[in-house]
Amino acid sequence: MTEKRIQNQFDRHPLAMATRRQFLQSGTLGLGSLALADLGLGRASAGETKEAPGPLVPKTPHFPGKAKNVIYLHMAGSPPHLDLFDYKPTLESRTGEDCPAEFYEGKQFAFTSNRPTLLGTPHKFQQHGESGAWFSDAVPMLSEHADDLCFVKSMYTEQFNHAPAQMLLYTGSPRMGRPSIGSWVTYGLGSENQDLPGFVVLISGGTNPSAGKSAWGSGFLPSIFQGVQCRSKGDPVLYASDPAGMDRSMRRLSLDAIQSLNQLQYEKMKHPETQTRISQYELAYRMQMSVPEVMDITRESQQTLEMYGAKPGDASFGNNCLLARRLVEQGVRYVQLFDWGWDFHGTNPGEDIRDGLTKRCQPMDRGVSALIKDLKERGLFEDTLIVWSGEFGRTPFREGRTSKGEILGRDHYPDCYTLFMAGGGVKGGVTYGSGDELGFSVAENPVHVHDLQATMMHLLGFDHEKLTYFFQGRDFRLTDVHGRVVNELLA
Amino acid sequence: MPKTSPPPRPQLERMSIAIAFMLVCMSPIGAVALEGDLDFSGRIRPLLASRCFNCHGPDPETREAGLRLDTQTGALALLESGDHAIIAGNSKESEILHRVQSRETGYRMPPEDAGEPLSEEEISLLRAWIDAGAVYDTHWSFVPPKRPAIPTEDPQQWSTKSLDRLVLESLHKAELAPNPRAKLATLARRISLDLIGIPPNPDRVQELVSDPRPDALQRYVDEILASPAFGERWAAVWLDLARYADSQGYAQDSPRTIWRYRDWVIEALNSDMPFDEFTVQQIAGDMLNDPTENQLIATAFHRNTMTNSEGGTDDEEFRVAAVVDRVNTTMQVWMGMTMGCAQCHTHKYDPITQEEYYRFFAILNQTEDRDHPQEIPVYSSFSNRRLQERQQAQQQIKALEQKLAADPMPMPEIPTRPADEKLLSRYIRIQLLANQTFLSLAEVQAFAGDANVALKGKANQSTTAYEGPASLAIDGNTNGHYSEAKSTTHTDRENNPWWEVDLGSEHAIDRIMIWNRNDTPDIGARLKPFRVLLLDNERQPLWAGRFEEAPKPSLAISLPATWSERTDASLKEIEAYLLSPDANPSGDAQRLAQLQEKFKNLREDITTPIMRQLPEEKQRDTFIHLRGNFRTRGDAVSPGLPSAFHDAPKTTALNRLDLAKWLVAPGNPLTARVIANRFWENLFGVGIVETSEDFGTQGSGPSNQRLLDLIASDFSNREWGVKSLLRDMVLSATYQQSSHVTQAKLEQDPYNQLLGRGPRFRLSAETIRDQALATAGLLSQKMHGPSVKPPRPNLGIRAAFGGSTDWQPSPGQDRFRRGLYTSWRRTAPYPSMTTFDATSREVCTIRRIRTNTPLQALVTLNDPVFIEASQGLARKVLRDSDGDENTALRKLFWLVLSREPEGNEVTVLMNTLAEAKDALSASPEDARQLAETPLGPLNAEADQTQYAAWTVLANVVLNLDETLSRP
Repeated sequence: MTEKRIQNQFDRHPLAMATRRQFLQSGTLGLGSLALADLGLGRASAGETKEAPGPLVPKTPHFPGKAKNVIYLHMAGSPPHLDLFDYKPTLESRTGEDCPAEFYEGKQFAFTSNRPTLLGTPHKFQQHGESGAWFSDAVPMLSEHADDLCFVKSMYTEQFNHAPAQMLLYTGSPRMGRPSIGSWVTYGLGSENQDLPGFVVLISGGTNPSAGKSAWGSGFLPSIFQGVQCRSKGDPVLYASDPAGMDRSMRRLSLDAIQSLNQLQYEKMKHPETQTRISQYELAYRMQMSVPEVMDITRESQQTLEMYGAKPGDASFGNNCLLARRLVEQGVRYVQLFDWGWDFHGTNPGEDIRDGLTKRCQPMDRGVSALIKDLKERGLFEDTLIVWSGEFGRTPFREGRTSKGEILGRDHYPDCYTLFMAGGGVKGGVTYGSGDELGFSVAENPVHVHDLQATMMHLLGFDHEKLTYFFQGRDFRLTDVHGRVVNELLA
Repeated sequence: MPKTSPPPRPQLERMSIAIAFMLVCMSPIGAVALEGDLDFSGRIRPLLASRCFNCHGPDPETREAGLRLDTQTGALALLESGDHAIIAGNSKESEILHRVQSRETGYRMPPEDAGEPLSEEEISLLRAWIDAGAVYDTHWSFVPPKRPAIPTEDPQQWSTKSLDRLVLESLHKAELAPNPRAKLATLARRISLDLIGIPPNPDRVQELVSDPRPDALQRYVDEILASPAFGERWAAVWLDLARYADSQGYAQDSPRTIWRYRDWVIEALNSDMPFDEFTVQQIAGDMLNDPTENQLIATAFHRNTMTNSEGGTDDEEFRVAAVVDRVNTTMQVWMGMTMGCAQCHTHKYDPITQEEYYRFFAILNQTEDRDHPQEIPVYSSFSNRRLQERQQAQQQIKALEQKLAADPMPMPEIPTRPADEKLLSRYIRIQLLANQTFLSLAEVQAFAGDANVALKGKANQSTTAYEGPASLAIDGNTNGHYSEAKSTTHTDRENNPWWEVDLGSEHAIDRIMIWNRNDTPDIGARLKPFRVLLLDNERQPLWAGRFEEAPKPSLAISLPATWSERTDASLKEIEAYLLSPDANPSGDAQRLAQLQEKFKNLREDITTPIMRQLPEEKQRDTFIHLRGNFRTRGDAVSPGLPSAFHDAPKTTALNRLDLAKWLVAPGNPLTARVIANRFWENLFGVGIVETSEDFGTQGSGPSNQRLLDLIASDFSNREWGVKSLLRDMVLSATYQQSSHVTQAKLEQDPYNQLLGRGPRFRLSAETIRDQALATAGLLSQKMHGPSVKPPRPNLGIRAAFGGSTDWQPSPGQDRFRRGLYTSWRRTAPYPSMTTFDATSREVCTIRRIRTNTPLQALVTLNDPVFIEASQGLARKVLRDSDGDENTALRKLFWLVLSREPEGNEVTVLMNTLAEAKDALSASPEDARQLAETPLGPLNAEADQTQYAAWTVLANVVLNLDETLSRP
């Protein structure tokens, strides 16, 4: 990729118009300077080539990043970390005791208002790997990857409702309207494959996450950077199928007519935008082929399908893990998975942290383990940053509404929770930070969601304070005015 | 340091005049923009703002070294260090200049971690400005616009319009000439798409082209401005600002009924409601004297904020979020100022303090809404359908009443038996002779001799409610305390409720005892007046009595033993019973009662969320939210408006109505500019201020301020008429230029800010849809009403904690309504429109950023909606040209592009047509599908191959860059 090519892109692309000011004002580092050198001159080199490179051409970050792609695995609803990875023997021994007043008085919980009782995990915990990381019996397959995973057990956020917490996690703000991290990443880095969207979203469990499209929206960034939801039923990308009765050669015929007429129009009116449209129609034609191809998992071996627990035609988490690998393999920059059904309140047997959790974990345990193994085998693990998390944690006590029942559930909890990362640029076999012995607050090395964002951006080669976009009178960035890179997690 | 030469004298003179002027009169109106390089607003302030204000700006929290550079007083002040950052007229002694030129870490400004050093050019600029007196003037947009002087020079006689004269002047300065005028037919399409969002009828275009009258185009414009489609087109723009949606937002995103607001906007625009009135009604229509229904509906503008009905959320948190949204939206929409920053701290660049933010917040903090899932307060009204039902019921009632009046029921015959025959009763019936009330009985006893035969009977009543079955009146317990004894019957609230016991066989009853419910005297008093009725085996009335007083707590009734012992009063009551609907269940009287009941239940079925002020005693106190967190309260604040602008009305308690009037007050420097600029942006693709969302110091500034001030002052001076504002624009020579571009112009003015050519840019999401359907003759003309659900792909996904995001398409013409009527669900906005940059409307969107992406191509190529339009278009042109394909092609071009196809275009398309026919004739099933799915079957005799090939052709034309763009 040459600088010239990037210049062309901003010369010729319509986005130049919308983003020119942003680039001009976004300081003099990295992206800004490239665009500044060019756009300040306002040169428009119309008519040189037929195909303008899209706005998603690969771009150089502030410094070489260790990760090139991201796969974010989101357990929507937020899994009970205390029953999976964060072992609290003291809490276990005090199960059934009234919650100490300091931990609930004056605090607000989503569904708990009276004094709750402490709830230790009903699961068996064991240490695994050389690192001795703790895993519960609900995630047996993941425990085999103990030394690949980098746990952060001191995560915290301010939001205790799903939608705002997800927005804070993905956009840096609990309110709607900001671009999501995938949009920032593709805005900053472009994507390696111009025949596929740069930012793909896959949903399992049949339900959108609470934050809805805001979790992958482009906010005030141009809409080309928003996540494209791909599906395993119907068109993998909306409207990718040719109309009924139109085969590929007919589509080609009609596309040729469109392109010829557009070319005539261009020669008459000389609008660069017309040329951009010509190239976008060609790209659309190619996407119609490449998207169904990459989404077609029947091309995988039976063994691979089994490893992931994937079945063609399903919209399962296993399928989506496999698709994530296929997409990353094809050069898609950012893949975001949402798996619905982790809101373990205990309002039904499926939400019981005992058997309910074990069952719920099976496909997840299998899919994530397969993904790590598969990426490793294909040499993609080092380049791909995997993050596994919910939007917050769950309480060390029983949820208020269901506390009189048979089913054990936990309420939402933002003050201390656990996530793990793996792959591109993070240290495997590390556990960073910890909560107190009951799990109510961070005891050491707190990591806010803004810090997570800063760290992810760093791994991709960005100074999170300098990847900005000028909007409504100021430079906006993913981390708002916060965020620090957690160097201890970096390989 | 090199010696700085003194600036040229004339400039100095001008500056000192400016200083003197400012000293005399510090009001914004007195400020004068300096010409040329040293223009403070244009060049110096942006430099200081972007490089210095972060630490030396309006925000005291982040201010370093006690220095603020955003005011002259601050910049000239003696600092803690003993230096002066700026000494007017003396750059050599000004500390700021030493600092920005230094390379010494810790001394240099801005510091290393705050960015690059200033460039040589920036330093010279700063130096020259300080030497010239370091004059501060007010930011350009904070000075009210004045109608500028209009250049008289126009040797080429391009145009006599003021607007054009100003454009021409700036073109001449850049040594450019305007483009020639576009063809009339092109203008016809451009104007129609711009003003009403749908393409013109080809016949009307031909008529215009052949109209010799000099004002032909003017007539065309006036005709278009009068079209009801005008309001629909511009409502779509306003609804982005109003963040209008048909759902509540957040996780659950439940449906919301607020379309009456959308219809209000359409009608306000169509009736050319002056923009100031349009403003006041939306911000504070409810606070006007004796507000009309429409004025109340208008206030739904600020009820378009989101409501969070997710379980476990704090309603106060989201109520506050809604008020924050209202503050930000109000200032953005009307004054192009971004208040959002000041929510957490004093604005870093614009003169808005955090305290001012919360004083503004205090004004909007006094409405009744409170993130309630039912969206109260609401305005209730009847739908058209409900009104029809009511009218129908009323007519039926009237007819029956007339019938009953004209033909009263014949006097019923009272059954008789031999005089000494015993009265033998099977049923005892007690009925309240009152409407909308409850019947409760503690006990009913029927004595034949000493035996209470009721105990063995079976009881029944009109309805049962509140756990009071009929049997409780024959359970042997006479205790009438409802909750203590739990032995009283209870009906629902209804007309003439009754209770009845079937004794199983006929008995000679001597005496009846009725025990009333008696928790309180008031409740006991419900049992009046009532009738007691005895019936025989055949349900013939034997005896009746009417009682005006409620039993306290019991009533004993002695009964006659034989038929002849009945009193006249009893016979009269039997007669009353026989005439009542109760005795004639299928009679007219009963039917009338039913209808009256039905009519009463035909209540208002549309509830529109509106603004309603809290009563005085319930008004909320407002505090500063520290760091924007509503739980962390700072000082209490009183309502107020930002002081950087024109004065607020002098009253102690500013309210929403004061705010509304302030937004459109004559001294407001921003509103007219911001609104006029936004209309300009819609017609020209880019605003005169490109950042139409930001007129503050960080915004782009106007590319031609006099032009902006001209249209802004004309707009407000001519009673804020939107249609006349638009009319002026489209009748200008500037607007009517051809949109072709030359290499030279593209190089010199790539973004057409000098306006040396007509604008050409992609149509909006709504217009792309509407245009396709309109050209195919499918677009519905129906206006208003609930939002509709045109076809879209099913995604099989539910909203979190909510229902499916998929929908069943609306039937009939609702499938083909204009895009703005599409149901706008925030978590799942209509996918084909969002692909064309329509937003989810979660928050106010000032301008949609236009993109050009492959996903857009997929929509217009493949979306069944566009295929349906292609099929409609193919059928229309073939039908209208009697099968002559050359004529059909011409018609196709005229319908979509308002022009003749050119020779090489005809060649390309005819070749495509021939090839398509060849291929399709080989696969008839493909041809059938392409011609009929989804629009529906063709006539039996139609040539499917031909129609399929023409569908391909229509699809080609609907996908041309020219089609997707304003011409």
